[in-house]
Amino acid sequence: MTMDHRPPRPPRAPRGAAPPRRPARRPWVLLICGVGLAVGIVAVLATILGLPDPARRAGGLRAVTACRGTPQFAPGYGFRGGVILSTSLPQRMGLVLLDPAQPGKAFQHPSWTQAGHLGAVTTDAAGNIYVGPAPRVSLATNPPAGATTIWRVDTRTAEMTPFLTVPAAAPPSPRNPFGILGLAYDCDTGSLYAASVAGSAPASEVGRIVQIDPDAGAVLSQVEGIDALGIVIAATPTGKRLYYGSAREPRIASLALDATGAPRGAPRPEIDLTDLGADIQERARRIDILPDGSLQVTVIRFRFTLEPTQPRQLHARYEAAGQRWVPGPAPAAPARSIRPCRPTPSVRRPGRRGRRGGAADRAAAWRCGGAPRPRAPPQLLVVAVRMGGAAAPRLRRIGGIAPDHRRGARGERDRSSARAGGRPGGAARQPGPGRRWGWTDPRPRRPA
Amino acid sequence: MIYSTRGIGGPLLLGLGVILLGLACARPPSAAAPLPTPVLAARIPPDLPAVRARRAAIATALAATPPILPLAGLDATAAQVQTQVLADPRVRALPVPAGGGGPMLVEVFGVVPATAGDLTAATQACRARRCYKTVLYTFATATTTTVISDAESGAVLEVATLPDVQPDVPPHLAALAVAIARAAPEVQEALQMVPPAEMATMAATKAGVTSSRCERSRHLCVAPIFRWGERALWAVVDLTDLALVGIQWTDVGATSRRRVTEASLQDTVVSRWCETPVPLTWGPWRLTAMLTGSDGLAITEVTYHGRPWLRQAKITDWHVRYPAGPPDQAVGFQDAVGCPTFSAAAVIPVSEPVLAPITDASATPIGVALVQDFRNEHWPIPCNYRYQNRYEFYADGRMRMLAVNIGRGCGRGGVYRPILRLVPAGAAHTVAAWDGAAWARWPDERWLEPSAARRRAADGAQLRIAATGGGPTLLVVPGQEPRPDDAFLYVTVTRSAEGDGDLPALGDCCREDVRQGPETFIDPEPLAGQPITLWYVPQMPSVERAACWAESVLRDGILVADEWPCAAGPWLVPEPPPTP
Repeated sequence: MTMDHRPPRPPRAPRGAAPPRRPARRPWVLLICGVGLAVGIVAVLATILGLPDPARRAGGLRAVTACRGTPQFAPGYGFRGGVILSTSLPQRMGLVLLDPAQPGKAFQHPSWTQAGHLGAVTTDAAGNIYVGPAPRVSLATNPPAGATTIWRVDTRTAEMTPFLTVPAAAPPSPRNPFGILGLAYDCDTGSLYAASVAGSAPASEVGRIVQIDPDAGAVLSQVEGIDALGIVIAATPTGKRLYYGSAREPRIASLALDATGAPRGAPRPEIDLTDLGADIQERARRIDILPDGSLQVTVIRFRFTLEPTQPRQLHARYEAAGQRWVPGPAPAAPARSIRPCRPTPSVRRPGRRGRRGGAADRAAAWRCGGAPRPRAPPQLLVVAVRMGGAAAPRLRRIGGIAPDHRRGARGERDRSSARAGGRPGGAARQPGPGRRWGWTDPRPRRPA
Repeated sequence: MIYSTRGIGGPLLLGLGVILLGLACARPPSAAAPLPTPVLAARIPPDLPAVRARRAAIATALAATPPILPLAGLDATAAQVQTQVLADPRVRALPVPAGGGGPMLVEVFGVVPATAGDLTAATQACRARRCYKTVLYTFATATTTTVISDAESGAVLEVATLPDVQPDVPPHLAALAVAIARAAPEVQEALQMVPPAEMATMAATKAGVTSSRCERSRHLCVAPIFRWGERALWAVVDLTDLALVGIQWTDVGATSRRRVTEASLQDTVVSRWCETPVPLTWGPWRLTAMLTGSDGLAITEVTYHGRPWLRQAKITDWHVRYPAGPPDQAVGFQDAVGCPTFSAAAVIPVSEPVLAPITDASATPIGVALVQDFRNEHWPIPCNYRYQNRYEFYADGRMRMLAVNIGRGCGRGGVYRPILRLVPAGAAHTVAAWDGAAWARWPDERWLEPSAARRRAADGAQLRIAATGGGPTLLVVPGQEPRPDDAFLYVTVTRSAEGDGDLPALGDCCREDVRQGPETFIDPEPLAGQPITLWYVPQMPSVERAACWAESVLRDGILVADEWPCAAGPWLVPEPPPTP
């Protein structure tokens, strides 16, 4: 599953067909064709070689996640096309796989609930899935001790096992039960990044952002003293940067990354979310880089508690003239372009650190079955849990998987409740965002 | 030139000196000094002529047709536009709640010529015509409605609604906010004077006030700012309740870009109770109180006439179970209440603890109640909760710890089971339970299921806890009013790891038997010579519009909450009664 940025190929003539009769051409026609051919060759070369695209020249960002693959186990469970990874379904704990082509289809491996409720999620080029635990409303299923452990779902076996425990300045506690809040993957260097706020207190910010070698399962580098929520790696006109949403303030900042992907230097302020319309209590829970280089920021109210919260989206575009981020119009709903792309032996893993692997990945994606599609949003759609709460996935087209928990006017819901008095049996209502459904039976349960 | 001061020099110099001295004393606080702590107001509307006039105007508008409060002081064209807009069926439908009932308060906030930036695809015709933009605000739903109309033809071209968007307030509401702020005792005390209206200015906005937000109450709020030297006093005013929310000082400059809002004020003020225990005193009672990360408001070191009474008391968990599906598959939740920031709480406090007097039928004070409120942001919308810690201290030495629920919950038939933890003072205790005829001593940790037969007829006492090495002998009397607690009681040896600190999650939300959580601490260990902990788990069924319930109702055009609280908790009665 890849995101295809390249222009569409012209259609091929069917086999066996006689070549069309070439009409006589005038010189100027030949000149135009020649120029066009040259331009086309340059464009193809530019794309393959990864020369700056318009988004970058305009100062926007470019995502480096094109290589992320579909889990190899997915076809074996009946997923025909792309997959959606969800950690925020209200009635399900853990990771759930959804099929955008088959509404109603959901899959959950038995091992995907052992880490409790989950939050951040990402994948690597091979289709391994990485998730971080995140308590939802209660610590009963998410004791603080496990908050800093990243779990990995194997791309072949679908088994979820502990992958790596991110070192923390201090362990999570009831005053701060959170650990890993952000995960990101860099196709260029093959590095996994994790943001953890474990150990932080009101007066001390001791969170960390770590760079991980997913093959070795080892921490390569880390930055201390940063409490971050959503993180994303982006290519900019001046090099690679790690963008993160502060967990303490309504702002986005960035760190420069060197050729190996290690963070360098001091954080650089990027966006004050209040300039985009955010409340001072809202934080960037997720940062998505859109094809035009603008940002879609999912914000939630986060105060290091388990209070339910509703996410909402803000948009920002880079104004090159003023060299600043400004509120951007909400992009039109992106065309769904779910491309069936079974990983083949020719699918390349990302380039080694220090080398650009993006071109190879795009080439591999080109070979990965199916006809070329127009530029489309990533096929691997990740729905991260909302901290302390849960809401229906933003992908409304799923429909039926999760109820709509959007809150209407106070009066409206209460009127509905009043009418509910006529319901026989007084059935319980669906819980709102952030509520955990607890299932119990008479048998003894394992201790929390 | 030489000026002769002969004859006037002395008094002149003296006068100048007095003036300079006065100015020095009246100098605004130095920016280098720490900022005063924010203050949450009681949120009581002041009795001002402007407030009374506002209420009268609202009442008049709600009784009119359509029940929309128009904007006064418009020129002829704008007034005509307003009339045309208010005649549109889509606009006349704005005050009508979705579920029916009385009108919601809708007010016209502005009628101005439409600009190019106001136009959409549906209103492109306005580029060649004279169009107006009318802005209306629905208080109950915090919805802004924008209407584009043709001033010449009177046609309404577009009606667009923006939920949870607060428009700029009109000048008359800005002036009202300033009046409310000026009259607030909190503002006057902070400024050490009644500030003149001209002091509340903000060049950035035409209305003279800075926008603010009341994120939790979803009310219309603005913040007059009183500039005082290098500092500014924000006074957040709730224009729905017509009352002051609170005040906060900021330094003038970059840091003042961030708005002071209802939530930021509340969190800042309440969080102070999370850092250090606060000593409280009432009559013969002394204690310390502190907000915990997940166990609500905990009280410690409780003494009565200087004698240790309780070592600790708190609510560690709230369980709620709803009936649904097969009997072995109930659904429910497990809530922790605690600090508004940095905690494992799902339901947080939005106000500080309060001390409320308890009086008898003749209004004579007989005790005091320490109450801490916790609520979800959208309470009382379904599946939002409100809880209270309530500790009652009486002059005669009795004490009662109550767990209070005020709905709303996710449905009917829910049963709340809070887990109360009480640690009596004393180095060791003996525990006896009433067996129907006499006190029977407990040799080890054990529990009691609810049973009316095990309560002493004379006073309803069920357990007797006698302390050695300091501490009183206490009778544990399960509550019977307004309904019996039906409580599970557990007695365990006090272990620090078993609840002295935060217990984020204990037990299962949805069991209906003794397995509520504290049974996991029962080994059973012998009690002899040991300090004990009493766990008390009452059962509080919710009844629609009767107990453990709350609902929003429209009253005077805005949403208010009707409450039916339920409460349960044990009495701790000293034996024998202490002599004063």
